[in-house]
Amino acid sequence: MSVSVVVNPSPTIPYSSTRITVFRELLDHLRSYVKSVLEDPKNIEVVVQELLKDQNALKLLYRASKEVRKISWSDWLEALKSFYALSERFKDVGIDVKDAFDIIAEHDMWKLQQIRKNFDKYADMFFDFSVNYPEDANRYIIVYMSVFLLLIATIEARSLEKLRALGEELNRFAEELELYTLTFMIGMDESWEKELDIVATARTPEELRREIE
Amino acid sequence: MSDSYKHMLEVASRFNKSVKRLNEGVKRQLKKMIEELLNGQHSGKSLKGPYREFKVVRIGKYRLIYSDKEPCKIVLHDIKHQEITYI
Repeated sequence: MSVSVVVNPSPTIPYSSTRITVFRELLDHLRSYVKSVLEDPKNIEVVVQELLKDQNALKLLYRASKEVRKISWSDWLEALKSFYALSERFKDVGIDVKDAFDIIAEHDMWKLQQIRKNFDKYADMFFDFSVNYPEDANRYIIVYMSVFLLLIATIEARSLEKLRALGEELNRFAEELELYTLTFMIGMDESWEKELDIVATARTPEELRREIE
Repeated sequence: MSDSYKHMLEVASRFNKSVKRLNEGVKRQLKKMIEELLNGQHSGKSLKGPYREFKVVRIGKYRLIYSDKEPCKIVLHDIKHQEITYI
């Protein structure tokens, strides 16, 4: 009996790993992408486009995202501290990334809260967003994954010049990420559109002052 | 009328509620930003998906959400504070 052997160039990744193994596998798998980002941080979007075509990377990201949901809140707070500690790396390169880090933290912590507390509603909102606005949804994935790879690259960066370039890109993508954070927040807030009725008008500085005070 | 702004301002109830919670320092910064919007000196970035008609400008840790889809009119909708959620 002859046996044909099929060599699969992209072997299926088993789904039985522990959390640490999953994260380690993911980071190992992303190493070549991170290297590309470090070579030319401005090329990040091209790298992300390649990453999104990589089935194994997507499987690992999916598994890692499922593991992330199981992390205890105290471990999350520790992770948040480590995340902010990473921003210290930019202190010597003359780039202010404080706002960018706050935006990223706000986005992730809010999203985590929705996933934990309002999963069905969040999933519905995100599904509607993806179906009705596929270009914006696609751009969101690019922005989010760019931030993700830039942060990993920040850990690996060894020169001030690279850090500066990574910081500039982080600032650029964080600014865009914030627009998605607000969009999703409004999308989850049922009262938001009900409170858009006009209650006052102003045309002069005096009228404006009255409205602000 | 010489001190009138270039654009007309409308205020939504949500903005009205949010502004009351701000301290005086933030209100001063907010007023300056609104005046820049009304004089056509500043423009925000559009939100995404179903909310793309709304624009955002940053004022420190606050974000002013407004729209300018009608000519010569700025509508203030909301002010959102940036905050990191700790469950």
